Amino acid sequence: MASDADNEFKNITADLYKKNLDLFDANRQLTLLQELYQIIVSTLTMEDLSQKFINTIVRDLDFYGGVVFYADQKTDHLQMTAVSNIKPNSLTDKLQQLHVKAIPFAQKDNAIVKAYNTLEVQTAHALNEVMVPLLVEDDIRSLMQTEPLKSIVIFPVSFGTQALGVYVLFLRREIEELNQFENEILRRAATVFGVAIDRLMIYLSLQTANDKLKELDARKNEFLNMAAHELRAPMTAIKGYISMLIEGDAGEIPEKARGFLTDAQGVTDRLIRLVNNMLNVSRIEENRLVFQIETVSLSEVARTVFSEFEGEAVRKNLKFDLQLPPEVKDRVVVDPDRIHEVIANFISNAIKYTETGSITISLSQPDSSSVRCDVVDTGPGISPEEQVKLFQKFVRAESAIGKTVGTGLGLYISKILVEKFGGKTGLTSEVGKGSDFWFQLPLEGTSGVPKIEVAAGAIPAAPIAITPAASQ
Amino acid sequence: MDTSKNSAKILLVEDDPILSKMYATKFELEGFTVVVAYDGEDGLKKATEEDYNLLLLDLMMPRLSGTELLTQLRQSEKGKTKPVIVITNLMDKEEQEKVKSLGVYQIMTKAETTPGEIVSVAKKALNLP
Repeated sequence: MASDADNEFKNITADLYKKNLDLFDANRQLTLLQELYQIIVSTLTMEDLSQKFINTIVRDLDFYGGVVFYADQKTDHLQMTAVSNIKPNSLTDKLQQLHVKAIPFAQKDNAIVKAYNTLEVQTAHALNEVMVPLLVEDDIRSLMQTEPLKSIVIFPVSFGTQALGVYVLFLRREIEELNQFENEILRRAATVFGVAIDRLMIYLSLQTANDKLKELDARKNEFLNMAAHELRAPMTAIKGYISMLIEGDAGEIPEKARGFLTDAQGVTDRLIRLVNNMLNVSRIEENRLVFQIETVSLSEVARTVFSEFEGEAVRKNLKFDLQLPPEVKDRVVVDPDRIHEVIANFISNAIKYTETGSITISLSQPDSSSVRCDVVDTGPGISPEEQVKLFQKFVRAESAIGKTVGTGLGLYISKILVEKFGGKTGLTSEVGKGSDFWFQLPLEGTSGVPKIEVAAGAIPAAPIAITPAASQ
Repeated sequence: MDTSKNSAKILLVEDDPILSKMYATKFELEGFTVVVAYDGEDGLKKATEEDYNLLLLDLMMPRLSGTELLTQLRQSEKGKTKPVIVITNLMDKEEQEKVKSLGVYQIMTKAETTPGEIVSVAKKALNLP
């Protein structure tokens, strides 16, 4: 009886011992997979991924060495992307120094190509079965003599049914000596590696697409810049000559002709505004816009813009009104030309879209540290859905109005400009009633005034001593 | 329009023939004498050799840019303190800084300015009525 109990005890102990070994192997497998997972999430190039992968396998499972091949469909070759380098030996050294590291798909008797083509694990016992044509016969012979190599195993790497490459391990023991757990781990590693490569390929193709988009965008901006500049020269001449005619430089002109010329002047100014918007959008986006920062009275800027548009509004029979309450504090720190542009964009839109009724430009004091400018029209109004999008690039209020003119850049640029000067823009509107486009700027000396880098201006107009009118 | 002669002489450096003709015409109508150069090299030669009271300078020009012209002019004895008005249609941040550091009376954007406005600024720079 006692011996029965003894036997049973021995069996249980043996069983426990085996279970313990299994547990140990399972633990190794988990650890390795975890390491491989870490590699996947932290690696962004094929070479890096392959190197870390093969090093982990060779180190954790104690192989003699290993190599990774990636299938390059463009050249029809299996390209060597990594040789293990944590346990250097004459074989891995030799492989690293190879000049040609690719095996053509056509080398069908090569076990590496075979594993890739069949998606089945291949084994070999001699280097010439896997290293032709990478190594010459002499090298293979001398390596076989000096290296304690007993076998070679090649695992195909795939994602789904798509073969992606292989990884090769060099062993100092027979393949049959690999236990069930090691086999299992190596198969799983191949699967994980396949997922990693697939993910990497997606990442790389996205990156390429992204780079291409960036390049296209830069080229578009470059073109816009060039086009805007080329347009400015003739516009300068048209604007200049019209102004000279109006100023009487070609003699007295009939009143009717003066009217025509004033119209032409208004249209030219509008054209210049459009070109400025086109030019500025790329400059703002590339942060290259030059600002000439000064402290100015917003009322004065508003008054100037107002007078520029008076003719256009009158011609459309619109009531055109400017309200500048004298008590409103209006000193702001801005680039006056750019704020002029913002108000002009708002008024130009209002006139464009309003067929009857009125347009009112007014200044007010929403709080003690800011000044607000409203451009209120009695146009068709803008639906809430469209209001949300309106200050975005290239968006025009189409549905409510039924006409699409302009570049759709005006409001986008206005918003960015106002924000550069520490302010904000907004819109309240109701379909059928009209719209109120407004912007608000921090007053001079308040905390809302942003520090715009010195490069942006603020240098006095005549920084060095210039002798005026010195006749020489 | 003031057609009476004043004694001031303008050196206009502008490569666009239509614009230089326009600006020259306007300045002459306002009583100035105008010398025109059509590129930067010619401009620099005239700027260092001729007598004039004010330089009206475009920036984007063939052979020698306006900025480079101004840099060299400021190194010459004659051009050290000469009043300069820059007229340009395109300028980046670096160029603006450079031009300002060389000392200019005013920078004007051509497309946003009329010839009459440039004349006004020139008169102000030269203390003319």
